[in-house]
Amino acid sequence: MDDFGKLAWQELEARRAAKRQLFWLHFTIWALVGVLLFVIWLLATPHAMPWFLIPIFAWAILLGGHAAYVFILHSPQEILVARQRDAEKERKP
Amino acid sequence: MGRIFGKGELPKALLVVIATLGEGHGYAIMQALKERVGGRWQPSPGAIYPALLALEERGLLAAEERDGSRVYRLTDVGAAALAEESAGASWASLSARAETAPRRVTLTKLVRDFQADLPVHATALSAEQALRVRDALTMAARQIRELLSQRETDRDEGETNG
Repeated sequence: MDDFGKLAWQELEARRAAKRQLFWLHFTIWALVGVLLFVIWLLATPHAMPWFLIPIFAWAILLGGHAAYVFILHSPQEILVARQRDAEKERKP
Repeated sequence: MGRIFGKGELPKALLVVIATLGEGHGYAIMQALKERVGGRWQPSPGAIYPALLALEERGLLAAEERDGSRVYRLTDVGAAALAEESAGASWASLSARAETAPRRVTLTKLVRDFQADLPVHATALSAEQALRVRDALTMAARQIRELLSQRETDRDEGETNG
């Protein structure tokens, strides 16, 4: 991969790193809100059904979608550059 | 910087630029595109390189390795595709969009542009050249640091006065 390709790869990697950071921020907020709701339930209505699980599970579905977007899905640009990188690595071991 | 290119406009613009250049490596193509669009638009390798690869995959461009760089040129298919399109018509609207796009410049972006403007990227330097280049870069880094610290001081003074 030439210098230009390397720069493109670094830029795409930086974008992915930023996406990962945003996901972990999302995860932290989800966890903190979960703990907060649990504490509220424990202090206010400990004998009632654990209602805090409903918003936490609903949010967890969205969080799962966010995780898939960040860790599994790749943009067409990332796929093209990664494929080129792999092809060149194979040619020059 | 907002999006300047609509769907399918970047590949078309790249074909026009490469047709004008005859052939060129990524930096040269990016620089030519920047000059052609004008305005405040700052192209990035992360957008241009994948677009070049996609055009190559579609057979519109051919690339060959030369002095450690990939040099791109139009293929016959690419030239035919370009002839079919009225690609030149969109430059005015691209320039207008680039002119009105909100400005967001970072130091990283400016350094990347600087790197893109360097004539040859993979050339080995002699000891003396390396020394002089290092001196020039050290001086530039010092000036940038001074400039940024000056801006911080101005901001602090502004807050104190305001």
